[in-house]
Amino acid sequence: MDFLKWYKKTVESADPEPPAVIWEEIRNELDVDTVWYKIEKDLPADRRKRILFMMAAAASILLIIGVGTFLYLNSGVQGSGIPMSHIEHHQGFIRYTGSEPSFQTRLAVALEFPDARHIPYAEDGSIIQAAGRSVYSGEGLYPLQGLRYTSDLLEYDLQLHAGRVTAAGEENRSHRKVLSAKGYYAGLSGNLANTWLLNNKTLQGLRSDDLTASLPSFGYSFGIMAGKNIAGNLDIQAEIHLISLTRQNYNEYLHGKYINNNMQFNYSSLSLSGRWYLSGHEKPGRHSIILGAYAGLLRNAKQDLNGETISLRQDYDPIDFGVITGYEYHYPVGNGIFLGTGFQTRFGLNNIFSGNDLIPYYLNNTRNASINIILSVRYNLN
Amino acid sequence: MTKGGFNEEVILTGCRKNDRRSQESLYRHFAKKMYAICLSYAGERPMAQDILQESFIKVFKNIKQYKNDGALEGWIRKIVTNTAIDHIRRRKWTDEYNKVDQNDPGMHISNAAMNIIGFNELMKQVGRLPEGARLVFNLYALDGFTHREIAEKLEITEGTSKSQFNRARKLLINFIGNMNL
Repeated sequence: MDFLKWYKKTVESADPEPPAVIWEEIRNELDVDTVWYKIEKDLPADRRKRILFMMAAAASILLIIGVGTFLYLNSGVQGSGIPMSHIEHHQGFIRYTGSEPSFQTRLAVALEFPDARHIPYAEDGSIIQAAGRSVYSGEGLYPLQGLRYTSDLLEYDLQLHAGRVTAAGEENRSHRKVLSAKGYYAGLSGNLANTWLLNNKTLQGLRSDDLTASLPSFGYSFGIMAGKNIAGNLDIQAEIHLISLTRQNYNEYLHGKYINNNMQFNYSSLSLSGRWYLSGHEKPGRHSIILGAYAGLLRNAKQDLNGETISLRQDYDPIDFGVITGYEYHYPVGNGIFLGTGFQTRFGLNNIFSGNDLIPYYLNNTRNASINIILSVRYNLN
Repeated sequence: MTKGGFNEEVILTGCRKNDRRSQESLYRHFAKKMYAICLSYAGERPMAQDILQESFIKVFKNIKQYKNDGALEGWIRKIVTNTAIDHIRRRKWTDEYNKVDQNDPGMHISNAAMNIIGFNELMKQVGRLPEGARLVFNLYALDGFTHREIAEKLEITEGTSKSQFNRARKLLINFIGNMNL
């Protein structure tokens, strides 16, 4: 008989009786868990946790609404939203010939041509403009009349209207051309971060009367980014940071000694964010607010305990995800290159501690959080 | 499905509601079979008991994830095997392996010897194998994994899996051959 077949048959046909105590142990452990879940249910909800959860939920809802609105309106621009049968091409301009446009149409056009309403027009809808002079006629006309055919030309026309066409203005226009409404861009980005691992221990360590002291800890991340303008003042941007370092430093009194702990987590992260510009294309520098989400893949995790290093890789979840909010300022430095700086907060939504032999995951709920200074350089591709 | 008084659907429904009596029925139905698997992986009773206990706790905590889409026994066995791997990994099995004397045993064992040796005697000899070699041997011989799958599961090379398996087989045949039958 084949040795391996005999071995398999002997093992699988055996029915050794496990000691009765094993079932007792299993039951005890399950009972402990059941009691804990009952206790947790009856405890008053953690107010701070609830507020953070609500903030995260609100940010997610805003992001979904923003993206949803864009997709809905963008489909209108290409077909159904702007009634193309009422659009006429007239001397390089677009004229709207229908009855009063709906709110949806106005909004769709406003997003596609953000400054359109400032174009001068006459009462019959024709453009009043000659040799760089524009005359504003005024009343009773719809905002859609007098739209220029492309955003670049529209901007230039606004320059004419404002009387700002100078050599410097031409230069500015070239900057704005690369910042045009349909622009793709790519570049490098990095963060210098004050990082936190938020759990009971580190939060208690912030109190001066506690034996554990949480210390400011700093990390960094860097990588590449790419983005696209998807509507008038809205960009969408993806970033891949292959190196994203999170640290938490704290001292604690343990076994009669005051020891220093330094935890270090190395992630690779991917983020997707929407950037809403507070100012239009007419300004050279632009302010934007950021709202987005990130996901991180844990590459390694370790803890230095008074100089002794231990791996924490098995104790922590390989995936982290959360929300991003922030602000960034971009300034053109010429040839389509822009420098950016600002700040960003990141807040993890999942418990990254997955438990070990001594502590179950639910007793050491830990989240990543950070306040970051952003540095970026980007090049507009068209 | 009812097998020998064990109504799987009823028991599963009870287990999903965290009903202790259903959990105990499920445990008692599968415990012996799984204990044999644990013993073959652990090679010693205390560790086999730990694996069995931890496996069934995992089974009960994750029972809602079982979608009735295959054999319940196979699902439980997969959990038992993975738990055994985790246990043995924790004990740094590769170091243990290198401490074992490596004789050059013969490659065959007589049919007569196979007919005489019972489960308990076999487990005594399996228990003498180094943990790493025993783990690879059981994954291959008992659970039918290929060396490539074993290599992925244990994060070792395919060559290491093959050499550990061959060494375990030779040692086990040698141990059995040296028994006073």
